[in-house]
Formats: sequence, structure tokens, C-alpha cells
Amino acid sequence: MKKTCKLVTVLLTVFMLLSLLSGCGSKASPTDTPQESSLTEDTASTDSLEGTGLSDEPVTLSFIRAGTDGLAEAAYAELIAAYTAEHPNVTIEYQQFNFGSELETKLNTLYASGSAPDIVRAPISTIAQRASLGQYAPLDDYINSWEEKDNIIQTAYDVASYKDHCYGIAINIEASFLYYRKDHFIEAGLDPDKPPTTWEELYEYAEKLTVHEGNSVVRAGFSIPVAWGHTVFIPFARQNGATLVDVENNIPVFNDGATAEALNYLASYSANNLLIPYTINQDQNPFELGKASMMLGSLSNYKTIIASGVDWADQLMFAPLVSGRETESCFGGCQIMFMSEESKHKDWAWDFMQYLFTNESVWKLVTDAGATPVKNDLSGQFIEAYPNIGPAYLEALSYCEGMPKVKWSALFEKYLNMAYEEAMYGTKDAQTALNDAMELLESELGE
Amino acid sequence: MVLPKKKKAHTGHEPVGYLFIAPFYLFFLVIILLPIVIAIFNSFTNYDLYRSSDFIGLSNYKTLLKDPLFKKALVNTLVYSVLYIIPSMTLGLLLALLVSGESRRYQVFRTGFYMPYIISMVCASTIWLWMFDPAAGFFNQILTSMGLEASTWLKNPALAMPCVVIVSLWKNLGYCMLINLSGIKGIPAYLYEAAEIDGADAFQKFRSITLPMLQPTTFFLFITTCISSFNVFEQVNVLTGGGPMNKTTTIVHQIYIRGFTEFKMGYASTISVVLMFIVSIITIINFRFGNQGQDTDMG
Repeated sequence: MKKTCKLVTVLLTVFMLLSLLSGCGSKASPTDTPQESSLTEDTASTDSLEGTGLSDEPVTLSFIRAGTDGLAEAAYAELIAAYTAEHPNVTIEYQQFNFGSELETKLNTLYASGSAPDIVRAPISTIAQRASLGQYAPLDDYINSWEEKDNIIQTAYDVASYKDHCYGIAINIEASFLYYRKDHFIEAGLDPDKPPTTWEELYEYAEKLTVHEGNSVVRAGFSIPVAWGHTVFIPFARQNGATLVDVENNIPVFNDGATAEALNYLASYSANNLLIPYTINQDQNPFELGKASMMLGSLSNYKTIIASGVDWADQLMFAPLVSGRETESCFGGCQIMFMSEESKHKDWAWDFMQYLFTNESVWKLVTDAGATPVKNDLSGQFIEAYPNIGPAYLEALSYCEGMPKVKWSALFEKYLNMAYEEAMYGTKDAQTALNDAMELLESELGE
Repeated sequence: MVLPKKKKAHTGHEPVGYLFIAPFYLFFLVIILLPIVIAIFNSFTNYDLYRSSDFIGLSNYKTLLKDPLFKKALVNTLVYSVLYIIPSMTLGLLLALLVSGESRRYQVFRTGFYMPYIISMVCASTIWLWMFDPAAGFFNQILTSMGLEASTWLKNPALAMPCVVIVSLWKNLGYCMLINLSGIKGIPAYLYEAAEIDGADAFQKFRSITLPMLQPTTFFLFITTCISSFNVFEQVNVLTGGGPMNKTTTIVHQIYIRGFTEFKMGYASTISVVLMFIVSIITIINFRFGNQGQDTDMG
């Protein structure tokens, strides 16, 4: 009997120890220095590394995309189907996640568990942290030997570069510009051929276009979010001469007077009850629901509005974002195609990425999902196909800027949005909100 | 003639018994106890999910004491708990009393009230998110059609937490009803008959028979709703993301944000250890002072 008890105890202990060992991985420990390309030394890859030869062995690539837009999902599904039809030995497992915490959680879990996706389409805000952790693979060698290299617009490489290495290629740059409704303008006595060109005009137009029923706003003049509004806040701050982040010295500098002035300006819309409150990535923009007269949007918003079959699509007009007081700026959310350093099929991953950047694939994404024509060959075709929206978009593309490329980009976004929200809700004035946010961010960075 | 010796009966040492309970204990060890131990260990490190974690002593705990977001989350969790526990137990009991009849129609109501409990909280929250939408949500459409002013609901700092509580109540009321119902069904009928003979009215029967006999059930529900209210996360994450202005962020929401989006798994482990202690203390207090009910001697 005692022997049986001992046996059971030993079995239980062994099982427990096995479960402890199963949690151990054998990942290479990342360093702060971005990894050099391991193209010629990648012994983990099962693909042939001689020249551009790819093996016929069955290969499964995992592809994760940030964004849950239905049109983009359908476009990527078709592209993947076409690619796998051409390469029957390749299976592509596709998943998509919302921007923000959902994407971060998924990527963090996958990388931590050793199940890194082969290809990731993620925003620019992820590049500094993940390149430093060695999660993204530098693509310099692949790009340098790519025959299409010079056909990609330079911005697509610039936004994907970090510390002298190119970690990806931007497949979409969501430069934002002004959307407005011609019918609302006429109704409010405004000339639709003269959109607002300054901050003051924008506010004046918003006041005239806003419709109230009692105390409630039933139609917002200029629709901006009350929370997570960094994509609106950042361009206004930059237009006012603010830097927000000193990338060279790796410090935040967003509590300066220029940023506070921009935040005060945006908060005045809320303070004077000109908004229908919504949160980016959580609620639909009231403009897309026909409940606002102006908004900042990108090409994908246009596609979404057209696809939703609204009866006012022909009333849409477009203009560059109002002129900055110090400089021109608009927000350009960059969606970049990255390859994971841990990918076991880098050559196949690169082959699929090359496929996504062919003229046909890029044009499909432009027409179906409102993506950027990132090929130099396609700019003329784009203007021809979209004479109404094309000029505003291409102008915005020329001076758009995305999130700063720092390792603490997620924390910067969090605390900037905290200040934005406090100012929009009127619980603090802009300068106090920014000072408090800066203090919290600095204390976290200091830990 | 030599009689064979009788073997002594061995009791309490059956190996088969151990084998039967082994799966549960393995599960308990690997899925419950081991992660707790690892979390406690991680709370003393700067583990960020990727690099090898360095031991940093009590640094995380010191940071936690000064963290304004954690304090807000703690207060919000307490507010949520109070707003949720009292109505859920009261309304759960009321519903159970209403549907405790024998008629078949009560079965329809029991099913209807219980159904929200079986769907996932994420799905339920997504539907409620649309209903609360300020621009085109269901509730505002009703309000405006009645000539009333629309509300900002989840975007209103004063209303956001009550809205989250409403979603939780809607989803979990059926469970409270069911547990109370099982308790009510366990009360001997002759107690009510005797009370009726003595001339007791409905309220007196409820106060003197139903409530005392339901004490074990009420105690169980109180413990479980306390624990679940401190672990609130899904509805907060979907409905408000912790906003507006961190008015609805809770302890578990902070664990998620810190651990999975800010690469601070060590710090998140610290918060989870503190949460474990808070819930343990509350549970111990409940067991210490909570009356687990008395067996009434029916003679």
C-alpha cells in the first residue's frame, strides 16, 4: 500500500515537472540593437536559400493584419486565394484584429509563445519596440535584390525604417484630409466650393453646420472623437509647430504651449456642444452615419461610405486639411508589411510580400479597400480613376506624418489620449492635462 | 483443523480512489496552483514577456502604491461591486419568487430569464454597445421618438459605470434567479402550510420562512457574486475600454492593459497578486461573519 501511494505521488510530481518544462522555450534573447539580416545564415528555414529557389514542400504561412475593415478583408482574401492557386503547396492562415490593445495583445501573446506570425501588417507605432526586441526581420537584403525596388514610393520605405534598417514596406498610408457634405453646406448658407482653409474658418463653419434639438446635437458640424483622438490631435499640434516627441533624444515634449493651444482649440468644439461623442475604433464616426457635415478621413473611409450604399454619397466633397499656423501637416497612419525574424519560411514570406506589391495587387487594394497607390507606376492611373478625391489625397500624402518611431510609442499614445480626453470632457484645461500626462509618462519611462 | 487466517480489512488506502481523484488534482495543480505560484514569482521581476526577467524585489509593489491608475481602478471596482451585488441578489430573489410556481408558463419565463446567462459576455457587450450608441443607438432612437433628449450613455462619465452594471445585471440575473429558485424548491412545503394555518400572510411567510431557509443559498450567492464582481473585465473592455477618463477601468482591466499591451507582465502580476489577497480577505471575512444557515429541527 505504501508503495502504491509512493508511485502515485511520483507520477503526480513527474506530471507537474513536465508541465513546468513545457512552458520553457528556446528563443534567442533579443537585444536593444536591431538585428542584422540573417538571410544567408538562416539555418532554421526549411526553404532552399540558393538564389531565389523555393522548395515545393508544403508551407504554411501565418499572416496577421491590423484592422477589421470588411472591404480590406475581402480584398486580402481574394489576393490570398489567387496566390495560393498559383502556389498550391502554400497555405496562408489569415487573421485580422482591431488596432490598439486587441492587436498588441495578440502579437504579444504569439511572440511570447514562440508562435510568431510569418507576416504582419501592422501600424508604424509598432516598429520601434518590436524591431528593438528582434521580432521584426530587417528586409534590406531582400529589398536590395528586388527588381521592383525603385517602383515603390520612397515614403513607403522611409516610414518602415528604424535605426538605418528597413523592416518593412508600407502597403497603405492613410493620409487624412477633409470630407464634407455639399448638401449640408448649401443648407447652412455656405459655398461648397470654398471649404474652410484655416482653424478659425473650420470652427466657424462647424458652428453653422451643427444642428441641435434641445440640448442634444443631432448633426455635428465637424465630427471629432471625444476619446482616443490622437489621429486628430497630433496633426493639429504639428500644424501649430509642436514636435510632440524628440525622437533624437528619445524624450516626450508634448506639454509645450503649441500643443496646449491645439488641444484647447479642439476642446472648444466639445465645450460649446458641437459634437456627437464617439470613440475611434469603438464607435462608428457620426459622419459615416450621415450625422455630421465634416470629418477627417482617409481613402478607406470613402470606400466604406460608398459600400454602405448611402443615398448621399454623391454629396461628398474633399479638401486638404486646413492650413497649419506654422506648417502643413496631417495624420498618416501607416500600415506596414513586416516579416517576423522567427519566421521559418522567410523566402516564401518574401515571395508573398512581393506578390502583394505587384501593380495588380496594389491596384486591387486601391480600388477595393481604399489603399494607397504605393507604386510610382500607378499615380497617373489613380488620378484618372478618382478625379474627385485623388488630388486631396495625393496632396495629403505629400506631407502626412504618422506616430513617432520610439520604443515607448504605446505609452505615448496612452498618455496623450489621456490628456486629450480630459480636455475634451472639460475636467482639466489643456495645459494642465498635458502637464499631468507628461508627468505620468516620464515616471513610467524612468522606471 | 486449521482455519485460514482472515485478512484484516484495509480502509482509507485504496489506490483506485487516488487514481480517480488524480485527474482533478492534476488539473488543479497545473492549471490553477502553478500559474498562481508563477504569478507571485513574476511579481518580483520586471518580466516583459520576452526578455529574461530580472529580480527587482519589492519595486513593483512600491510602484503600485503610488500608481494613480491602480487607485482609480480599485475605487471603480468597489463601486461596481456595490452597484452590482445588491441589485443582483435582490432582483434574483424577487425573480425566483415570481417564477417559483408549478404552472408550465413559469418554465417559459425561467428559460427566458436564464438565456442571457448562456451567451458570451463579449457578444452581449457588443450588442449593448450598439444599443448605447449616442448617434444611432437603440435607446436614443426610443428617447428621440418620444420627444426626449438623447443621452451620451457610455460616453458620459457619470453614466458609464451604471451602464456597465446594467449589462452585467441583465446577463447574470438568470443565474441568481436559478440558484435562489433551487433554494426555494428545497424549502419544505409543510412549513408554509403550518404558517397558513396560523394565519400568516404572504409577507410574514416570506420573512419568517423563506428568508431564513434561504440563508445558505444567499451566503453562497453573496460569496460568488463578490468574487465575480472583483474580476469584472469583459464588459468593461468591450463597452468602454476603461473610459471615459478611466471612470470604468477595473483591477482586472489594468492587469490586462499593463501585461498585454504595455509589456509589463511583472507589474501586471503584482496587481493580480494584490487582487488575490483582496478577494481572499473578503472571502475570509464573509466566512467568518456570514451565517451559513442553521438546520431547522423539524422534530
